[in-house]
Formats: sequence, structure tokens, C-alpha cells
Amino acid sequence: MADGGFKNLIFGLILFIAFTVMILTVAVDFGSEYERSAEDIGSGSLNLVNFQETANSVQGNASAMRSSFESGSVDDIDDASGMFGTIKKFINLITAPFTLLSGILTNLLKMPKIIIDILLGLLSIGLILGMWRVLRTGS
Amino acid sequence: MAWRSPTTVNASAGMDSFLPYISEVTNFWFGRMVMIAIFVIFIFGYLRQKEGDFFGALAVSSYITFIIGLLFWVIGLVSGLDFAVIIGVTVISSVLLLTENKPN
Repeated sequence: MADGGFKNLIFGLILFIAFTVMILTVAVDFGSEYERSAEDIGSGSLNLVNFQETANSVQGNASAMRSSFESGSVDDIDDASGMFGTIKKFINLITAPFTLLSGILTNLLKMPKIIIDILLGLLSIGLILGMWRVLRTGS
Repeated sequence: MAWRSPTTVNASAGMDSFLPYISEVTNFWFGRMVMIAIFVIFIFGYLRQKEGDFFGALAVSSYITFIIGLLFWVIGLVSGLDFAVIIGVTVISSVLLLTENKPN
């Protein structure tokens, strides 16, 4: 993730979403003039409705996270879960782009769920090992 | 599976009735091969003129394939699945082109 790797990843994701919407809109609008629906493209795997649902869910999560950070009150910390609640929010923030990517892969490209689970599982292990390295060496 | 005879096609209705017949008897392979040919011709043509710019070649050829594929899709010469692949290649090539680290 060094040398702006994470920034490039986020930039690439935003571009991916923007170009997908743009190209799908062109295809769906042009096709509708010749009695072709979005359901015809890839047997319905590519359509704007699924894409919008994914984008809405990600936007909802982002808004909830933002309001949580903006509140800035210690009352938001759940006493029962202690610091784990706060750490969970941080991890959710870090994994948000990957959640978005998995949503796109599942809903838009109809990739099998097992592949996405494996990818996210590897990512989780990587995050845990990365945090352990930080704790061990302080790097 | 028995294919329809060409004589059953109402050729006087124009290409609109003839092109879907071609797709039907070739199981969409006619449109698929035309799309592959267009993609390959443009990607190698671009690379011959501008060596080393692979992502540029990929983007240009995929956009040309997308536009021609869109026309072929509405007349029934390219299947929906093939068109989805073309859209995927177009999106990915656009992202690769814009996120490429170019030496200053």
C-alpha cells in the first residue's frame, strides 16, 4: 500500500463505478429505442437497478459511519463492548472499499459468492497479520 | 437440432430478418468472431503506430468494439452475454488507462 497504492485503489474504484454507470446507461438507453431491455445484457446480470441497490447500501453505511465520527461524543462508545466497538468502526472504515467491490462483484457481475468470501477472508487475515506486525515492531 | 432453411427467411423484409437468422444458425459465433476481429485489428493497429502504450490500445479498441457491438446487439447479431463481456472489457480498460502510472 506504499507510494499511494491505497489512493490509487480508491481512485480506481470510483472510476470503475463511474464508467460502469456511464457505459451501462448508454447501452440501456440505446437498446430501449430498439426494444431491447437491460435484462437482455448478460441475462440480466448487468442492470442499473442492482447497481443502484449496491451503491445505496454502501452510501448508507458511509453516512452512518460519518455521523458516528462527527458526533465526537464519548457517550457513543458502548461500555459493554469497550474499545472493541471503536476498533470495529475503524476496521469497517478500512474495509469499506472492499465491501463496495464485493457488492459490485456479487450484484453486478454475478460472481459466485464463494470466490468473494475467499477474497474477503484473505483480506481479513492480511489485516490481522498487518495489525500484529504493527504491534510487534511498531513499524 | 435441425436448423431452419434459408428459404424460410423473408429476405424482402431486409437485413433485420436476415441477420438474426445468421446468428441463429451459427449460434452467435458469426457476430462473436466479427467482434474479436475488430478488437484484434484495432489493438494491433494502435500498437504498431504507438509501441508500448498497451493500455491506450486496449481502451481505443475496446471502445470501438463497444460501439459496433452496441449496434450488433440491437439487431441481434451479438448475444447479451457477449455484449456484457464487451462492456466489462471497456470499463476495465478505461480504469486501467486512467490509473496508469506514467513516467514523467
